Amino acid sequence: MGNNQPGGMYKRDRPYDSEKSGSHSRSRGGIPSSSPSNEDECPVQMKIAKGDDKSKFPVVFKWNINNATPRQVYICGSWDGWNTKIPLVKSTSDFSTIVDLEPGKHEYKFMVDSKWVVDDNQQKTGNNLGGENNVVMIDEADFEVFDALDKDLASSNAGEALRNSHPTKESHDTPNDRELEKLHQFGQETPTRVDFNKAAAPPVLPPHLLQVILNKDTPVQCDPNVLPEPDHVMLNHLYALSIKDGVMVLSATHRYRKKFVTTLLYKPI
Amino acid sequence: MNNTTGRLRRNKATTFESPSIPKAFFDLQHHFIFSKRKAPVDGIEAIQRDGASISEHAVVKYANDERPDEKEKQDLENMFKTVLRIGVQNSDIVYTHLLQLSQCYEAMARNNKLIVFTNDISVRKAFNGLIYNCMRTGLVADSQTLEITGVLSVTDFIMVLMMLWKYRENLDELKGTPLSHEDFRQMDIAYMPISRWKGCLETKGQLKPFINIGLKESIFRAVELLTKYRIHRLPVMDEKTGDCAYILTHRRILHYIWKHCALLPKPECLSQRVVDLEIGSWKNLIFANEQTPLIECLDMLIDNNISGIPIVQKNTLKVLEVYTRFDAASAAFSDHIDLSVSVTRAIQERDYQNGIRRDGVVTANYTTTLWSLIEIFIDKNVHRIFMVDDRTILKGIISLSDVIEFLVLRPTKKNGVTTGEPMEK
Repeated sequence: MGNNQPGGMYKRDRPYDSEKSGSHSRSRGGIPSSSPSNEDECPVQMKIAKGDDKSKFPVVFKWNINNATPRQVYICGSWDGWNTKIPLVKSTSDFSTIVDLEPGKHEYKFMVDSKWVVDDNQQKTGNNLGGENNVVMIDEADFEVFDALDKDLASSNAGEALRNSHPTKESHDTPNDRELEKLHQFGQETPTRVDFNKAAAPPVLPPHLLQVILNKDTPVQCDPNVLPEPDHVMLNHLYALSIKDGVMVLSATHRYRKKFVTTLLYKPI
Repeated sequence: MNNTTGRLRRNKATTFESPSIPKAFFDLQHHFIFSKRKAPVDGIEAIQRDGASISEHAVVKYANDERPDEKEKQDLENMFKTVLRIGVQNSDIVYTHLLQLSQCYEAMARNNKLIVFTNDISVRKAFNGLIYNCMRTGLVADSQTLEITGVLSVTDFIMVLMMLWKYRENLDELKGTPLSHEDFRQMDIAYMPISRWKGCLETKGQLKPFINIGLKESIFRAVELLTKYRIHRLPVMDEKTGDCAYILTHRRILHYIWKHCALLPKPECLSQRVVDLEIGSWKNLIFANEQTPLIECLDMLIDNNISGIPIVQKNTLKVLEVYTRFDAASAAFSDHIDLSVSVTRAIQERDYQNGIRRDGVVTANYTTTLWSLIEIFIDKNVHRIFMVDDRTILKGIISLSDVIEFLVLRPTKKNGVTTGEPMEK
């Protein structure tokens, strides 16, 4: 009631209500108005993720409560020829609903406590009966953001984990084990040995051990009694030369205080 | 008029005579300050035996920043440590004191290489091991207990070769024929174990005792042993376990002195000429000419207990080559062992051996200073330098042991203290 001017609007709406009872007035009200509308301003206040039907887009309609709280609020529009009155759900400060609409221009009107009113905050246009209707423009471009989200989900590993349930490699956006656990189904089957073939090999030996200190060529300037300083993984290891001429050659490096001694033992077999 | 006569004279300057400031006398002396715990005991005893005084001091153990908490202040042992101090009366004795205060452990390299043969291995195979590793000395261990009982060096191999050759020379049918490698393999002496070879030497009276030194003894003591027994390599053993840590040579001692000489006062003798200091041999030189048979060169090496001889021209004494014991040892790899060939031909054949290093000829002018000579020893890593004149004519021979003995042992002999037997040259 507060949305309208009490005198003028009330008079215009009253003849429309009396005409509505007849079938003729109903069909006349469904004709789209030819008056121009402001297309720059988008009347839709909120858009939610679209449904499965890609030809229609969800649109939110709200009726804000100003002074007195109405008992019932309905919406009727040109998308179905003004046939169905859709009830709006009451919330704390408004009435709202979601209607799937096709792209294009649609006119609609609210029935608040059995009285036809328009929302002065939204775009309006004149109708054939001398009154006014609200207008909404639905454009497909407004919903392009949902396509991007779908593509991102498909390419990410989280999406792949949701589909395959078996992530092959680690990445920065892999969901943690708890999240993956929810996707798996627990069963009674015992895993076979084949499932454990993917296990990694044990850690390799330190690469320092591959550098045998006695195999290094010492420079000519060096004393033949002096060897390079060993790595600590070399200490207390036994090295053996292949047996030649019936003689076995063994060597080991030990630490004595801060220095090292490499001993070669020649022993006949 | 009466007032003027009684007036006191004013503004008269008074001159004071200032006394002269006496001249100050500075008497600075170098000192060795060392830890009492780490210094070798025999080195300290040697210093006290020479008459020098060693004073003991207590110094604060921690720097100012590292002082511990208040509670520990009362514990004197944690606050102070004992150091010893000895003055250097003469700069000539500075290297002697350095070695007397250094353990043999400190001359050890970072990683030392040792070869140990059990005494049941054959002599020929042991020498092959020495040649393969480019080593001059190996240790001999008992085959049962693996306890080190002696050393085996290149000198033993030369003696084996000479013994073989002279044995064949006594046979009329084999006289003059070269000893082939196969002949050497088949002879009994090639399969002689080391223990039997040591027995033969003992029978002839040529076996040298096993001389070794402990790791905690002073390097000065090592120099005394090296000089007394005329050896070049001294095994350094761990006193507790009986294991050998490394083999101390004159070269390592010279490198140790070289490493520390920048921190020490320099003796005056370093800037004098070696010919004036009478280091080494300048008379009755032992040399060979190009046509000398190899067997005679080996005789010179063994009989005179030297490690290398110069090869000179016959008439002019011009130095051409050097023949060392290690060169003789490599003859084992020749197809034919012929000790009757000339030494020049032996050197040429020796050059064809691959993978074996060889000391070249190192000469210096006989007017060189001792400091320059030490630099040549450090740089070339040889054991002897031939002193020549401008035309490369041999004037003298100075070996590494001569330099070590001059730097370390001569200052103590100057004080009238004799260490061991007198040296005869």
